[in-house]
Amino acid sequence: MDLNLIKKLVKIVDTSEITDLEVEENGLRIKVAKKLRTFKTYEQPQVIIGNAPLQETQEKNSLTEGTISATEKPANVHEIKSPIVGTFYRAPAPDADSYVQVGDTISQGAVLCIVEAMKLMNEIESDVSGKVIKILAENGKPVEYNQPLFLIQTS
Amino acid sequence: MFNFESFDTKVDTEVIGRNFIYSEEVESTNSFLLNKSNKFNSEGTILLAEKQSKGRGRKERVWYSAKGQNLTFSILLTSKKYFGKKFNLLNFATSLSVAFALENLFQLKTELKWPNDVLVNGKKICGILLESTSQGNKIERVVIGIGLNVNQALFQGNFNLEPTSIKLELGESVDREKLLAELLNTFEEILQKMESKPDEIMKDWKDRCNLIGEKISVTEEGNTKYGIFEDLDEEGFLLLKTKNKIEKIHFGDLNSAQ
Repeated sequence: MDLNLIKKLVKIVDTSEITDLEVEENGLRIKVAKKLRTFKTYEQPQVIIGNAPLQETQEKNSLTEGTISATEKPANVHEIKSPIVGTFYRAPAPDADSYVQVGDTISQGAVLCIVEAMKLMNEIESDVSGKVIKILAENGKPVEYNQPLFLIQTS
Repeated sequence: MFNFESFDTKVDTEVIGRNFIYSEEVESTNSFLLNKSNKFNSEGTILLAEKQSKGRGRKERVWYSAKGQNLTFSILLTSKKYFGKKFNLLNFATSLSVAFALENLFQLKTELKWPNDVLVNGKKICGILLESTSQGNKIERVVIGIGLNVNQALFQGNFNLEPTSIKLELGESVDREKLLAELLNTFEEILQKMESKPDEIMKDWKDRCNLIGEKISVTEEGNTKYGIFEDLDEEGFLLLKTKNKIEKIHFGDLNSAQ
């Protein structure tokens, strides 16, 4: 999936008069649509993508309020999502090693990270065994409820 | 030595503390109950330790407590009914329970500091650390760690916030058993309100929070923000009013910036 392609499509829709645009390539369908929001004076782009590089798109300000749905996620890639709103930490303390790195093989129950809200430290364990293929949140940054944090490739 | 019989005659709960573990020394009461392999799974299980060799606060800050003089314990919750969107209200329910117990038994005037410190005369009397584990996005268990300074009269070292104890405030030692029973009775009552009257918990909590409406600084990871402590939202996050916006704060060390 070419992330730049999505960015370009969003830009085209955002800066033009058209309200939606649909592109299909190699079985992957991408639809970019604008949705009028009543509380804003400008139009907000809405993004619906088929094959989900969820985090990269969410990090872009222009896309954060879009609706993103993953409909064609590969069957053996498991998403670990945040159970709470809070701050994402990859290590138990500021000077400690990260719990996991990309490429690590982990078993079910392995601790992946901490999400802290107020003084509640929530340790997130993997609910599957597999390989960490992507870490989608940045250490020390806020994460939302149900925001994807890790992609685990199950064997 | 904690007198369990004396405690047992005063505790009036249905669930909280009905399974009671007493230990002379553990590394951390929170870590012990959080660890599934220790096989304590009953709702409301309490682990009280006279000494913690690795007592800690958030981000592995150390929690000091003299052996046998205070109350250092953890409460285990496994019931999914507390793990919904208002999960964080547990912070407020717990600190409010401690405040109520201190007010009811000793007529101490308490102050609450966001998110869950309990202060008397501007000094910290109780620290609370909540920890939970989740498998993927399903929260499985929550452990509420409470360190309440009771009969310790001397605190040595450097502290972010000056400590105090009930003994230092009252000038006399008090009965730990009676205090723990009162605290657990109150906690169970407030816990039941989390579902039925969460607004009441937040109101009682805010009534004891002197910094609301004041200029404050919030420091987290070396980054300090200044603004007015506008309010708490319904999940308990701090709303900080800066020049032109209201920012939702997940965590930080708070100080008055008057």
